[in-house]
Amino acid sequence: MSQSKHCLPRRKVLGLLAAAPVVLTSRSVLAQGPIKIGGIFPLTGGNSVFGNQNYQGVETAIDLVNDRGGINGRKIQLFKGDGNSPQAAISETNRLASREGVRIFVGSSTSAVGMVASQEAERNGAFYWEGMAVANNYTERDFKNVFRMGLSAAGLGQPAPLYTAQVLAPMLKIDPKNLNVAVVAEDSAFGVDVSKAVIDQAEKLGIKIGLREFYSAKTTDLSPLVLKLRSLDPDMIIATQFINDAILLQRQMKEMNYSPKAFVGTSAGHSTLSLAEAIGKDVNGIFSSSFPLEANLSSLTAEARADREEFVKRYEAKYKVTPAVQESLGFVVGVALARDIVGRAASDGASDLRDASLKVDVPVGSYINGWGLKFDDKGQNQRAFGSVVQWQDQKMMSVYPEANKVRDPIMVPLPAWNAR
Amino acid sequence: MDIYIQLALSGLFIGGVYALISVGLTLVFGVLRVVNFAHGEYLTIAMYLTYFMFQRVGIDPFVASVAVVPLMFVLGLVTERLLIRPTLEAPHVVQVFVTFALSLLLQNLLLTLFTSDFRSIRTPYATAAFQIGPLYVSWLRVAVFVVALMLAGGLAAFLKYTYIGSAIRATAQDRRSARLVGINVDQVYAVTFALGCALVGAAGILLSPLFPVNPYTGADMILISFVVVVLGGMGSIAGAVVAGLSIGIVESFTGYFAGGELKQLVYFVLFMVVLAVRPNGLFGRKGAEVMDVT
Repeated sequence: MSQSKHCLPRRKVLGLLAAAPVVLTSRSVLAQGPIKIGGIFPLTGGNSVFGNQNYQGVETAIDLVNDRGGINGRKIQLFKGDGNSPQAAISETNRLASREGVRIFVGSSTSAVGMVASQEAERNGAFYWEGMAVANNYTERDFKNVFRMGLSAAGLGQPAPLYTAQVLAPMLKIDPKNLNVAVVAEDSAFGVDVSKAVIDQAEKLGIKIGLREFYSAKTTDLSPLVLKLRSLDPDMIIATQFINDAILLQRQMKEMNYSPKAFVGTSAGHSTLSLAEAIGKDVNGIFSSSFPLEANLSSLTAEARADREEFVKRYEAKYKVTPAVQESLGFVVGVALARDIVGRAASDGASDLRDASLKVDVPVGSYINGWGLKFDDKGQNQRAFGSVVQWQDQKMMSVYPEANKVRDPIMVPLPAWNAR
Repeated sequence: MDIYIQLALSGLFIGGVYALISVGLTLVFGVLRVVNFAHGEYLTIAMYLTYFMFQRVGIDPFVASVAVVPLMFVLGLVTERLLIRPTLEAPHVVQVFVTFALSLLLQNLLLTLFTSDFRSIRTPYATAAFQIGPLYVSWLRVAVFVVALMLAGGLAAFLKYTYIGSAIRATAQDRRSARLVGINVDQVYAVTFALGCALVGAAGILLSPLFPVNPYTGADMILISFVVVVLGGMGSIAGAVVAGLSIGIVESFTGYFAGGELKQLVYFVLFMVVLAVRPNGLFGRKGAEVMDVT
């Protein structure tokens, strides 16, 4: 037997050597398996409208990233955790961590859920990416691996008085310092925190708060509130409400033929399509200080513009509705986590994700809502900002700030109910 | 003065809603002595049925009642036969678990079928109101109030003047004696439970133009019904009406003078005071064994 028969030809050897990294890489990718992300949102129960809208936005983002090839060749697998109460959020976070081996979490629609889910993730040595919970003290807890991409309550509430002073007061021909504003809010942490941010900002601007009134979001009757508003007759109302109570207040104001000169909501109930479905044309003219719905296209990067088109197309195809504020927020949060954090981290371990988060520097205009990404040392995104939308022709239109503005405000002061 | 009248009217109207939801609950308790924790979900189902009939077929909610009320009655019959009857002789805790489980099951079934989105019926008359001097009165709320009183009155008359009504009252007083005198107690239970569902179905129809519905609407509204039923005296229809209206008025005045966040606090304090003085509620009798139809 000649030796040459046992020797591989040189070309073949070189070829095999050249292919080795590919084989090794794909083997290591296979060995590593998919990147697991757990979504903790209230998918059932009272807050499930927002929870599902946020989750579906995140899901659309993850699908898009996967369809574009995943992260370094690895697919992302998204797990559902139904945090329909703080207790459920704790058990679902632990379940996904221990049974599914999830080490990256995203959430959480409400502060009550986000606060405890992030705490459990931190305890498990996992990474938590917050998009929606707005509690002011969320990032004050000295957690290592918890980052909030979205707004604080202050960030969500402040645009309402700012817009009032800069735009609405001149349109109403009233000096902001002579403006009398009523602040009404549902009495959970959301309403209390956001309305406090509204009042703090208003007072800085010299705006007078004539009434501050809380009520339970589960109320079935807001007529006493409407009567109180009628007797105090403020120039405008700034309201922090969920869906049910937002609908009820508008209907009962109409029943009692009462209207202020301007009405500004602060996200939640006023930034959801259910409001327009319930009250029809009466929705026109209402403003909402909110997570941004959309950005002025000229302020977006080319990639964000492409993302926006793809997001709307995919969302409408899958869920048969046009995405609004909460869905768009979910998408932004999902894309940023997958592409700009997991995609740039040395590994999908919590400490590498933390390093990537602290290093990340994505300019404003890089996400479909106009946001960018740059964290302070507490883990709060400094490039997230609130915006103001107005209902025009029963659709939400961005009117503030300039980077997000797509329409001029109309119906200031608000016309009679039958003229909206 | 005007403001007091307006507040009293608002309180009466919302109180009528509370009474309407509570009448069926108290009836079922009075006769079957079952606290139906799924009562709120039947309200939700009726609101969904009304919504879809309006949205898909364009039938006005008040017209839809012709179909929805009988459907709810049938649903009540089926529930009673499958879930309530087998547990009637079991300890109370079993019935609590069964109806509570049914409540969770129905909530999640509705969630799967219709998602958690709020759905609203938009009728031209929903926010129509008339003015008497300085007072604003909503047509729809007046209608809800009047229908609630008519239904409660009709139910009281039905129980007092018809044969099956007498049978129901007899069963409520003493089920063994009722059986001894030849009353088909099983049939009475079935009819009573179904009647409770039909009544809350009627409430759902009337509330549809006023409130949006999602799978948790009934659960949110039902807590106050339990307060109304206990305050009025368990099993007492007159008690449910009086307690419902009282809570409505207390809420209205508290909301205006003390602030919306204190509404519940005030009526719960009042609730505890009444129970301390009259442990069986305003119209209830000792042991809540007797149903008062006066």
